[in-house]
Amino acid sequence: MAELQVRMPALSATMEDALVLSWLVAPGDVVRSGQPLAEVSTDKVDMELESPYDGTVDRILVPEGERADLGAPLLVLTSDEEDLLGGLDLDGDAEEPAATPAPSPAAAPAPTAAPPAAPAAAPAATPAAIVTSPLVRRLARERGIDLHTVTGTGSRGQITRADLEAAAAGGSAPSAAATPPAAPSAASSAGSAGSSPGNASRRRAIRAATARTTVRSAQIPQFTLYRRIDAGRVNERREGRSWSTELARALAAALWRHPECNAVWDEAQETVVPLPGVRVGIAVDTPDGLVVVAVDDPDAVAPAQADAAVRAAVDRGRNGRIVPEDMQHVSTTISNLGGLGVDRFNALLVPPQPTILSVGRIVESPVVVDGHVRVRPMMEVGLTVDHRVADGADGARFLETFVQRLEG
Amino acid sequence: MSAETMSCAKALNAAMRVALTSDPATFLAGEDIAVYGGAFGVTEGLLADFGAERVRDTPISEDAIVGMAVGAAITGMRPLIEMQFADFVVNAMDPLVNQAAKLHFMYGGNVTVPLVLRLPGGGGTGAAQQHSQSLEAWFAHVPGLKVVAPSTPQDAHDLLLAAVNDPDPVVFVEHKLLYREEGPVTVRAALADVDGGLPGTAVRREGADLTIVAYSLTARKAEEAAEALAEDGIDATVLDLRSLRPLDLGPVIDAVTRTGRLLVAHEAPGPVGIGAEVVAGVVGSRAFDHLLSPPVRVTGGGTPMPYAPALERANIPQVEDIVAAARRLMAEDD
Repeated sequence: MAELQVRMPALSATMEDALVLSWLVAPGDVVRSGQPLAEVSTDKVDMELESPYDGTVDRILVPEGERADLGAPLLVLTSDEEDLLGGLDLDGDAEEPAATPAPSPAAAPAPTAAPPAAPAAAPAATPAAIVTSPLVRRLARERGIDLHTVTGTGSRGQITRADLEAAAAGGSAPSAAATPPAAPSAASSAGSAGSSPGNASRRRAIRAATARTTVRSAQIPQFTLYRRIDAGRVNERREGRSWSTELARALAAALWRHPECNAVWDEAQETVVPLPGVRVGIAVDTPDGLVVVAVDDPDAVAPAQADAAVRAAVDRGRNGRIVPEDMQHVSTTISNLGGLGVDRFNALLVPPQPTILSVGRIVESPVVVDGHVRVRPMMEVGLTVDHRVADGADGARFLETFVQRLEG
Repeated sequence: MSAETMSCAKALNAAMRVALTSDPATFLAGEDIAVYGGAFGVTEGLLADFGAERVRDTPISEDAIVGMAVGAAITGMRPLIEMQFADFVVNAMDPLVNQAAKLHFMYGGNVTVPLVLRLPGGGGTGAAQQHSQSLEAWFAHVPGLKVVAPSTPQDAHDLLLAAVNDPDPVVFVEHKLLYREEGPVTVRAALADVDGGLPGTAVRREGADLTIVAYSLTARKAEEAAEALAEDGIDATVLDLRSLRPLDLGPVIDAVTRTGRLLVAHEAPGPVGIGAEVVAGVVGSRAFDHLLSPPVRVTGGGTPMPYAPALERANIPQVEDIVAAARRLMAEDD
């Protein structure tokens, strides 16, 4: 019988501590590897902290409502499992972010909290538990779906057949909105603010995170460039894919062409630091507040695959299941208020991202084409740029590439 | 011959008549089976028609009865033995387990032991701990024995004749509460009419939502449970195992492959029981990849059978227990 400590994992690259919102287990409870232990909150991320071990809860070290530093012990389990971490200096490793950026979200463990700074020596103690039925496993195998990428909405958190069908269709689980604790979809959010304590604490945490982020953003010198775009071509080409997917793909293409706009400002060094790749964020309106999810370069994969990734990410956001990858090395964010009737706006930067794209509604408008007045579906976008990173002309060239891609 | 309505007891009695008539090597033996007609009346009237040579009352010694039967069987007779209560078979374990089950193998196949041992078992009669047991799993555990457990009058009739025909020792499990249960029975004209060997698992009902597997009295309860579940819109397949060793799992695997859910019910205690064997067989088969939820067992025997009627009832799976377990199983989202 070993005593195993569960420590605060690195939930994002920049995280230094996190708030324990609520404990989902109590001393004496038998827990399984992968079972949610607690809800914790970092900047904008509320996550379920999952147990890396099978065992029995012995004692809880951090009470609800208190913050815990990265790597700090949160709870102690007793277990028959061999303590594979025994003797390792976990505190010494805690500085090492366990949640290293995954090369691809498809390969990243689903909302499984990264185990406490687990070094490579302990693979057996950190299984990515998939809870589902044998039938769903077989169907996933047959269809080539990685169950790590599917979010379970079943009563025990298991991946149901409906979840799999939804993942296969590249969309969200139809039952997700009806299954607690998933939040209702954004579309039904107006006036449906949840009343459960969980939602209240999540709302409060998201509000506070948004306040901190926007205050930091307001200190950044930023400007916005506006362009009107003919959305007709995109509409002809998109074949049922979401607008977010089309915009994200065009943004990704433009970012590769304009590396000066794919970099962040390093205040200490007073220099621009290029981002390692292209990742596009998407702002998602949820009943509990604004969250941002991210997808790996959507222009590097087939359109249908990009669309599936975007829809899965948006679904994560709506269900409050943000993963660390949603916050790491994000190049830019799409904020779309067109669906709510807004013509144009300038969204605030999400530090440290150097740009953010504001998307207005599409309006049938008179446009002069080759000397003739034509009615075209026009959309206005605003590109907000961190002036420390790039100049107006840089932003304009970036925007031009983006527009060409959409209109071409 | 056309079917007539008769009880399980009468169907068994009719089968014994067929056996005694069509094969002079058959004979009956047991405690109070001749003059008295058997503790449950199953052998009534046979003494008068077949005489004391072939319908034999015995001393109250199960060891002696089964020992005699094993000797008769290996020398060419086909004994049909009744234990007055299944519980009393403990006194005959040595001739049954150490002799009857083994001799065919010990003598290199030169000897067969065509012995039928009828065990009236099961609870619900207020007969308490020593007269209510369901011991079938013990015998299903022994290589060399066969075990069958009918649930309908026709199966009681046919399985008994098939058991008499069988060259190996067959433990014939009867539930005492089934004796009065009536149903249509086609009485066979001769032993040869059931020459196809011991029958396997029967499909009692087909449904798409879950598979309920049972045997003996509990199979009847499972059918009733399925009717109740149908009113809730839950469509159950009900399978009646009939033979417990060998166990015919093919139809079970087929059904679970279709339904994705398995419930096994029996009155015998759950641990190391027939249900465990069925679940293991299904989980270890191609049906595994079709399971939507963990298989469930509904069994009896949490305690030696209580005398108090309410406690006795609670110690035996009832229709409503099967219904409740099936509903829970269906409530598991897949």
